[in-house]
Amino acid sequence: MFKSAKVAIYLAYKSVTRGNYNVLVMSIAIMILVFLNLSFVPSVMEGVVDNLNKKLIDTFSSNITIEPASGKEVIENVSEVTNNISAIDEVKNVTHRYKLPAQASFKGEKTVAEIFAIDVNKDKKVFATPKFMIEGSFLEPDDIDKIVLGVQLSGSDQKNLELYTSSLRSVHVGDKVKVNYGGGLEKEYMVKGIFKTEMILTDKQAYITERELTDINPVLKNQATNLNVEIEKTGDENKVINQIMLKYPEFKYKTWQEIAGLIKNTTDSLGIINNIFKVISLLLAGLTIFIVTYIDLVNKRRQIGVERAIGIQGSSIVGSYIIRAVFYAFVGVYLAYLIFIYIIVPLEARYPFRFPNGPVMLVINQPYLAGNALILIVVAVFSALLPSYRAIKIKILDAIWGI
Amino acid sequence: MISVENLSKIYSLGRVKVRALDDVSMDISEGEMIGVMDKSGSGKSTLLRQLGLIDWPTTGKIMMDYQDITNLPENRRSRLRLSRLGYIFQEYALLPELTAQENVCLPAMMLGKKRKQYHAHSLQLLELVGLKDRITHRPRELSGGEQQRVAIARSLVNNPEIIFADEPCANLDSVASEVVMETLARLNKELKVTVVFVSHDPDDKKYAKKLIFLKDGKIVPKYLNLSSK
Repeated sequence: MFKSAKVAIYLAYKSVTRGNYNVLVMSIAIMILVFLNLSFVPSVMEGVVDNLNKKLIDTFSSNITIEPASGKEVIENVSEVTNNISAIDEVKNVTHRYKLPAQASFKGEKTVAEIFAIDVNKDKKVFATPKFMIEGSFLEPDDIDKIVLGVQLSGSDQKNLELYTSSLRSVHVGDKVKVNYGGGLEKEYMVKGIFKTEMILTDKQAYITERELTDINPVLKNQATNLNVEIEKTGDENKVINQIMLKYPEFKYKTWQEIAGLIKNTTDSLGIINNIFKVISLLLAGLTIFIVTYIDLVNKRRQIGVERAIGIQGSSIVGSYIIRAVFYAFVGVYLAYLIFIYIIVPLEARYPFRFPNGPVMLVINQPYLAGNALILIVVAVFSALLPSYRAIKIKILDAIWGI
Repeated sequence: MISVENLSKIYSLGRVKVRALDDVSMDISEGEMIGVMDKSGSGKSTLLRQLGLIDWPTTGKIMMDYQDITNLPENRRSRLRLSRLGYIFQEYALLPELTAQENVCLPAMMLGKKRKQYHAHSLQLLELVGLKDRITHRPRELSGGEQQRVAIARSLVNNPEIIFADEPCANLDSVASEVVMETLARLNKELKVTVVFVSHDPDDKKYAKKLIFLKDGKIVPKYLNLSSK
């Protein structure tokens, strides 16, 4: 066994260092391409999903959304509740919002709008929407008679928007829009800013200040239709909910995944597409490596015959081809990994792909890349094993004569 | 040493059966230098391949030291080829990635000999075949005759009891052929290695102590013993 392994390593070493240079370069180049093919598309897909999820959390749902208890429409005594929730270790920031269903109109165009009255300072800590202003600026805490609109609501003459036809179409900063809250309450707001997060759910919203809300209806002071909680570590939502529930068991809690709804369909579909891609890429990778190794081995059948004829054991011969294939795979995968991490990812970050929900960065999923590397090495082992095993099973003379 | 009884080999070429060896019986004794002669297609190489355990006969027996080795499993045949038999191919059959010395050392490495031991032995053998100054050359850097002499040294590295040389000079010019045949004859004389060689060149008769003539796969009666020569 030891002798056989020693000879296998020796033959593989000599074959790699002194064998056909073109085969060496081609085998490694194919490994590099196969690994990149196997890693690139899933990284893009994962980037799309990650981007969607991050946008959802950062601009729409936060990590946890807390709603009033069953049968109630608002959460009372919001200051105290948010203070108590903020005191929990894993909670990073908390804000509260008051949702006002309304109808907005501008130059004859009317549309249903979701207007939220927000505590600007707290909201900015939980949500990143102010970073996505495309016109004007975000609200200040003392703003009165001012509103910021999502681009899917304002339209802003961007005819390629998904919801343009149902938007106000041509609203820009400085324009005045009318908002009808129902019950005969109508108010005109100056548009202070327009944001575009590229998350349709968010871009349909509009915001006014909490001060504006109490101006409209002083009774609503210190009330909210929902609380939004940002936590230290995404993924710990249920753990944090359990802690909040100890104090407020009556409220309804939703994690961002539960709110995702429409987005979940998209991410699920992307996940399925990604998995199909992975399977196809793997099959392609396996076949490519197999064909390259097979052709190389077919060309070496005579040599295998000679090796057997002079008494070299079959296990040494097969072992030498497996070691060589693993070496090619290892070098190819390692080079491809370096190319991916140090060239493709930074290059893509500089010139990102643009998807409907914004620019997408490639996601480096180390366990996935490691898995790909392992799979390719296993494929390489089988690609070398099958034809070399076959070559040692045929008659020596047939191998030498190339039959 | 080796005894062959009623050996036959039939090749199937589609529906056609070709009887390459027909009921061959012979004995090979220690220290002999046997030349298997005659025209191409007479079955010479086929006989050698059966004796060298590279092919399986259709019928008949090959005995080595009174043991039937005809139908040994491949791993045991491989072991025998490695330790007790040496085989020299018509086409040199060296591994292109190895130097002359590495080619010679390979069977010894497979046998598990110590590096120091086979390294020194390979040098001796390469010196013996006149290639001491070519040890680091790879096959493509050697002439046909030199490659064949490397193959001879390789066949000797595990101190085999018998060497089978299948038309070792078929691809060589007359000068190189003479060097190779003389090398084999010297090995037989000095190292007492039994040699069985196949040749269609009548000039090679002079190297043999015993000649076997084959025609249509059968040994013909002009079976000559030249030991007294």
